Amino acid sequence: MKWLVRMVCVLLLGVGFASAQEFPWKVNLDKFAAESSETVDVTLDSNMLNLAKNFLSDKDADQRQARDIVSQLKGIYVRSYEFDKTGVYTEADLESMRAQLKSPEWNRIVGVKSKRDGETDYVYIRQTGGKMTGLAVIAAEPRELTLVYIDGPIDLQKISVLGGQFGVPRIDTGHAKVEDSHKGKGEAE
Amino acid sequence: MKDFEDQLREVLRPPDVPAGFANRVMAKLPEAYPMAAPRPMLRRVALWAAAAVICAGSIAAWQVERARDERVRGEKAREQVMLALRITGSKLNQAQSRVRQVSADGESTGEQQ
Repeated sequence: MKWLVRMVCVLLLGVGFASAQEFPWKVNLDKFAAESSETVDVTLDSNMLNLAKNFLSDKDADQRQARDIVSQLKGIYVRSYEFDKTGVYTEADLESMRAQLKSPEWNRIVGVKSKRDGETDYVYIRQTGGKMTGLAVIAAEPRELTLVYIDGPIDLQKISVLGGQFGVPRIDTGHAKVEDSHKGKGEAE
Repeated sequence: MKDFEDQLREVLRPPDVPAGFANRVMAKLPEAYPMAAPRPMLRRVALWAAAAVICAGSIAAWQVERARDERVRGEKAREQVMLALRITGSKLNQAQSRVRQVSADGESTGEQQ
């Protein structure tokens, strides 16, 4: 009987570990999905990315660029929710998500919080051995919440090249942090 | 009259069948009407050929179906990649522009970041 209990524990731990590898946030996103009027749920593990690569055309510039970006990635996970009303997520929810992106593994390179507009943007990168191995984005507006996690070696310069195509900004890797929490204008870090 | 009848009966009487006639006739029958000889080799080959055709057809159909599923999955994955990258790009762009806006606001109000 003990072996059975041990086996179940090992399996549960394994499942927990596997899910932790997928998404860095251990939060209940179902409540946001239930309240949202529009939901985007993209889960692409390495197998799906490999499959997608074969279908990204060389003839299309966007797709060619996308293939270049995803060729080294292990996973892309996006959750985006649009709400009909405000107040679906709380500051505590955002704080909980931020808290789970812990240093030294994760470093925040951008943090903007606008009290005036009620908008919050956080961009984190994960670095391992001096290489960027992950990107996490928390973008919150009063009626919208978006979480992005990209697992794998990401070259920000490559992504910045896409600025004109995907609207990806050119991001300086010098981790310029700006904080502005004053006078309700916004907070940036 | 009776004689005539007797003569007629005598003429029409079936002849006596010689002994062993039936056996001889039966023995000759296969030669006269040869039955379709069973050709086990041909039948076996035909059966195997039919089975092979059915198997090949099934495999081909399965392959076609699999390729179709793979294509559908691949196209869906491609769309998801493009959507995910577009969302990521737009959110990064948004964050960047807000940083710039905050920086510009700070500069215009004489505040240093």
